[in-house]
Amino acid sequence: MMKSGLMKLCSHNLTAEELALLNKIRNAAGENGLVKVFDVNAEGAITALIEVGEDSSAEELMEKLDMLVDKRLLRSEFDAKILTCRGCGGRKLMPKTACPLCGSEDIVKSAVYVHRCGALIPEVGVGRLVSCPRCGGDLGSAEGPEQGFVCNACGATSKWLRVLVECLSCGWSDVVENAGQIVLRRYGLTEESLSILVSADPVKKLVRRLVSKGYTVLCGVRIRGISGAEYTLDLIAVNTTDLVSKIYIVFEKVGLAELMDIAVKKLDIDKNSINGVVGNIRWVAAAPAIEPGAEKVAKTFSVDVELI
Amino acid sequence: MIQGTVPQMNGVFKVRGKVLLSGCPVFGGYTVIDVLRYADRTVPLISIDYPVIKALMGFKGLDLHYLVVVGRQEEVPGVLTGYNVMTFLYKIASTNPEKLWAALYKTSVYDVDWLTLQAETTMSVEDLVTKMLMKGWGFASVRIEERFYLVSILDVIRFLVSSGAFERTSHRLLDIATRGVLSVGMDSTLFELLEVMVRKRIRRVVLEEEDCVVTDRGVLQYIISDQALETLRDSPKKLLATPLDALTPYAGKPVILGEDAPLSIAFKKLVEKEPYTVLTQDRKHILTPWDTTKLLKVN
Repeated sequence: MMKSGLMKLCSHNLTAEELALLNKIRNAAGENGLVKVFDVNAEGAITALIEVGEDSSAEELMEKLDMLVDKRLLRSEFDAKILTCRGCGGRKLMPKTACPLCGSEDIVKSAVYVHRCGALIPEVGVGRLVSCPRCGGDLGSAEGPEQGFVCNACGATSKWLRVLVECLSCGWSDVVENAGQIVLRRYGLTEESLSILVSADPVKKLVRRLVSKGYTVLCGVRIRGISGAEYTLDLIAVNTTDLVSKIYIVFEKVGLAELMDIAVKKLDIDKNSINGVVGNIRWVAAAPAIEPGAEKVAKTFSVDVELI
Repeated sequence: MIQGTVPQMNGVFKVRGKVLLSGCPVFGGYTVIDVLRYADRTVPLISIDYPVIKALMGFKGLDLHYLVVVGRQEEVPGVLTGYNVMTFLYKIASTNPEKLWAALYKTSVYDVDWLTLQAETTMSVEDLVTKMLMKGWGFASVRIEERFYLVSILDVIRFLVSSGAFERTSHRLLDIATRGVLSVGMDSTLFELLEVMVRKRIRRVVLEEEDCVVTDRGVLQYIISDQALETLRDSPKKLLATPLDALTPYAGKPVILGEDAPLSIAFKKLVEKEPYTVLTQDRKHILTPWDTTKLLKVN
């Protein structure tokens, strides 16, 4: 028996909480399939726009959603960016502007002209000066006016401002580039998660049922038997709370041929070498239809039969 | 698949150079359709492509005597019995016992099963038994519309017993019973039992001391028990070395009759229960379903 080497998580493993989250996203999705899950309240705190439960926070919800994105069960798009205080992590930041040269906040808007040497000349200066203060050239070639700023403290003229933020909670202040930031994203289902939630496929239906009952489900686990034959186990459902593991083979119907099939696999696979299974391990033949007498035959193989 | 041909000579049959003459009163007037009522019509069909292990699960799940094997084209079906499985296991065990488990998964039923005779519902029972004797095959397939049914030599006897046909013969048990009863000691192993049954081409062996008979079906039932299957998987050699007392739950008590017992009584007792065997009181003669073929007149 080959252990974890051949065992592969082909699609995903899901928890009941994750399945519930996917359902919430599905129910709240707009026309483009995306949901705005987060916002920022008046106090600057991130709030969840969908119910997260009493014991959970918006930040925890964000982590869970991002994990689902990693599992390719959700897609996300940029929604908004929130700046945060480097001192206290708060979001009550007051923006300020200052002179890029001296740092004084005493600056005023002004129309400026740009000389061919690159010098910036405020509108008031154009009337007073006869030549460029930097290169001495003729001011007649200056282009403008453009939007700019003049510092009342040092007299510098600039096209850009230094932008600062000051935390209203702790007083921390720095240029905006040094502030922390949280990116809010909008979330939507992927084709895979959509198929898990709505597909009539027996395997997907079974996944939904098992996950909602608290099982963690592995799909399409490949394993090699003692005989050397290779098998794909449709689902492995593990409930670590109740210490129960179920190995599912899913059929269109369960009759003698299907039970013979699962019995052959059950005999050949050492269940203790399947990674992840715990506690009492049961083999289950599952299908949307069960032939009369199948349950009796299943007992002779110590196999359970389950209607999907 | 073991194959062969059925030589037919305008209603006259030959076996090993001897001509079989028709007219045995036991078989008189009956046809295959009469016997079919006694055949098990619930036996499931399995694919010729199934691995042997899957067929074993069929035996285990339904406690069957045999399985009907069909090909992709629904041609004449084959039959898989305990004897086929036993022969297969013996061949592998003789050469490479460690590969037994893998062989069960990698060998298809096609390589193990027997072909069956073809019979029409209108064929006489005598012709059916004659054909069985000529081929050495105990099963015939009968096609009715789209479905195949198998008729075994045991079904023939059940029918003949119920119809009172054996009352028409004055033969005694000793007249057709086989002399020389093969037996094995309880200290023998499963492998030795397989060897005897396969090499001697017999389906019944007396277990000494226990005075019971183990059949190929009994051996199969033991092999597909949970414990034996696990041992076969984990340690094939250990299974082959199993002493025969492990098989006693799967052996049956034969009917013991005097040598002069009327054949009608002998066959009536024979069909009552497994192992479908009658022994004479001196244990020197054995009557099995196959002995019915001796009722055909041989010159």
